[in-house]
Amino acid sequence: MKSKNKSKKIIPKLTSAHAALSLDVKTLGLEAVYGAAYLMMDKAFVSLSGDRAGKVVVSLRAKDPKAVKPKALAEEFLLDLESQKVRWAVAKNNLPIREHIAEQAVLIANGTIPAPSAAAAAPEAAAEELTAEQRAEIEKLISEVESEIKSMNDKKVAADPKGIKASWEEKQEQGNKAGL
Amino acid sequence: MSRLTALAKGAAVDTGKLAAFNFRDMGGWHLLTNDWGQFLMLSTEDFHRFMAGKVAASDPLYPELESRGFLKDRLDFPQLAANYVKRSSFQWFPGPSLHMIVVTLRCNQKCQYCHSSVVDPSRTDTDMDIATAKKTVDFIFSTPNPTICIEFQGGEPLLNWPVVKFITEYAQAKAKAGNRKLLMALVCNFTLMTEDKLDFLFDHHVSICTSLDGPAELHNKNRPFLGGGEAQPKVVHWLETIQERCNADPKKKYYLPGALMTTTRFSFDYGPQIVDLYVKLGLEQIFLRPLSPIGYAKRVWKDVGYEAEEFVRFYEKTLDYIIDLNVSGKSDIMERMALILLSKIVKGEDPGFMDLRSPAGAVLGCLAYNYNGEIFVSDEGRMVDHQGDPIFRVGDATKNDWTSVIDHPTTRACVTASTLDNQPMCQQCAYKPYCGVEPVFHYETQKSVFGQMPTSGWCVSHMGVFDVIFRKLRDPRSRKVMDKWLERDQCRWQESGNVPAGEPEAVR
Repeated sequence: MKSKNKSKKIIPKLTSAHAALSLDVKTLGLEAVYGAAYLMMDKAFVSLSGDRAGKVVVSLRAKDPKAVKPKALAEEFLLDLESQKVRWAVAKNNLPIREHIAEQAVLIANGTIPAPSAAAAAPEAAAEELTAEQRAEIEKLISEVESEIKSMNDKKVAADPKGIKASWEEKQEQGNKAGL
Repeated sequence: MSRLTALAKGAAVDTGKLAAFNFRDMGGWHLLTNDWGQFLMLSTEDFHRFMAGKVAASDPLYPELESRGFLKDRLDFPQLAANYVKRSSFQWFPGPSLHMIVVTLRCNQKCQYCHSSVVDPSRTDTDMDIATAKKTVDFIFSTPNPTICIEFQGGEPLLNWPVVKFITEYAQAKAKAGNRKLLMALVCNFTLMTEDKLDFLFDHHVSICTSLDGPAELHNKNRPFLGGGEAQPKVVHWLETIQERCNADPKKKYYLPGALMTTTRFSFDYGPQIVDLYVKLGLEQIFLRPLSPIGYAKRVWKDVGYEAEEFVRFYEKTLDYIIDLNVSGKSDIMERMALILLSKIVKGEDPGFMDLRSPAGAVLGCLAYNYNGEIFVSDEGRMVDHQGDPIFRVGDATKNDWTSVIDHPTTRACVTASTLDNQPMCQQCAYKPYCGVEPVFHYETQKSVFGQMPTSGWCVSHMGVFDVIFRKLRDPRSRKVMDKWLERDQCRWQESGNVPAGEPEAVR
């Protein structure tokens, strides 16, 4: 998204007590409208009406009418609305990246993959050819991870990959069975 | 402009090159942060260039943006993931580590702001009995975290000393048998401390913390004895006594007493005097804590409470005084809240502070146990129960098991509500990587565990304190002092081998 505030100018309808703004959801995005409305709640009573797939009317009434005039409320809303558009665009553009990094973090925390500092500490091994034994070990690990991911995906509810629901005794028992 | 701050009107933006980040207009400069805990403080001009996608690869700013994960096509995924793990180490811990046991509701003080829902010293029916204490410890040891920190709270825990002793000895025996790491802490008002009790606490490595609100006139006003009298001289006496014993024995060096102050409306006139008293007593840290409108404090809020903005002003002014003392060499006292935030911001580590986590510490990091064995998501949740609302009760140590507590609907609600990515304003806040919200606070103040951040005193207060800390980080004089604090804090934990970063704040 490249922008320099070229969108159609929104003219608020003002009364002595209210400001009303008619907004095109298709161009602005519903999240941005909701987001800007939410941020006004410390200063104004905000009501939304209309069609969430088409035009939405945002009405603003100051909580302290002596402190803030409807025109100032409308200006503040529009300023935040522009920022909300940008914030939501950035969030949407980056969603798969954030998910990927979060997944990597879980794998590092579980010890499934090494943290980069640990990998960097052993550069010599990485430069050498893998032995058959090492290759077998890696294949075994990959197969374990794939199986783990499959079982996580198969469990539709209440997945507990870290065993957080297991009591200390259950964990110890599992450890004993595994010969740890 | 909202409290979140906004872009300048008509600002040019090219979102295609921007990695996931949040920003804050700090007035003359901009703060950038991202989920991985990285931050950058940019001039407004540089910020505008960044937003417009006009920072070329040859620009000196480019490597800064690149190395900290702000350029979408230049992300080092493994490194950012590693930072994420380090910053959020609590997320990977299996279950709660901080267990607060209220051994009695009785107290011999009647503090103006008391959160703890205390009762008269004659009410021995609110003492925990040995059978309940045993079952409570058994429950604690059934939770899965390898590290356990038991904190005695009240009421005044020394009013039920036999149970404090029993729990200490029983828990230590269980820890030894089960090969668990155990930390123990006592929070008391010192009015009932004796040399014998102190010997026991030292012998069993129980760390000690008390409340010290400041000079006698302030402390005694905030924390009067039931029936009148002065509490502050006793606190000062025992702090000095314990310090003398700790300093005389290198083995006790790491059990130096701690003190906590709670800020009431009356504290506002005493900032420097409070700090001076802590310095005079040789205390290493002071924790400038705001008052929460929970429990009794809610009822007397109009007398002792204040607006969140007033606290932020007090905090900044008093922190300035502390930094001045450090710069002039008159003292090296540290401010605890600043230290917690600096650990998160500068070191990218989680110091284990339950209030500022996403999700919050409730059940995932801590549990509170009432004298009768009832289990709550936090000590604040127990106080709400004492006011007649059991909403934060998640079990009973005498009847339930760990699975039922972690699976409890209230646990799920608290976790969902306190995950900042679920909060419309928090998810876009520049302080998200370092902050947290507290479901009990918002239930008490806004009648919703989610709360409403634009009108939340919690948000105003924490955002204000973060503003103060980041402004100090940009000021070379303050930054130098804060870097020294971080270095000293790190050395202290490393030397003691006791509580590394990421484990619970033993005393809240």
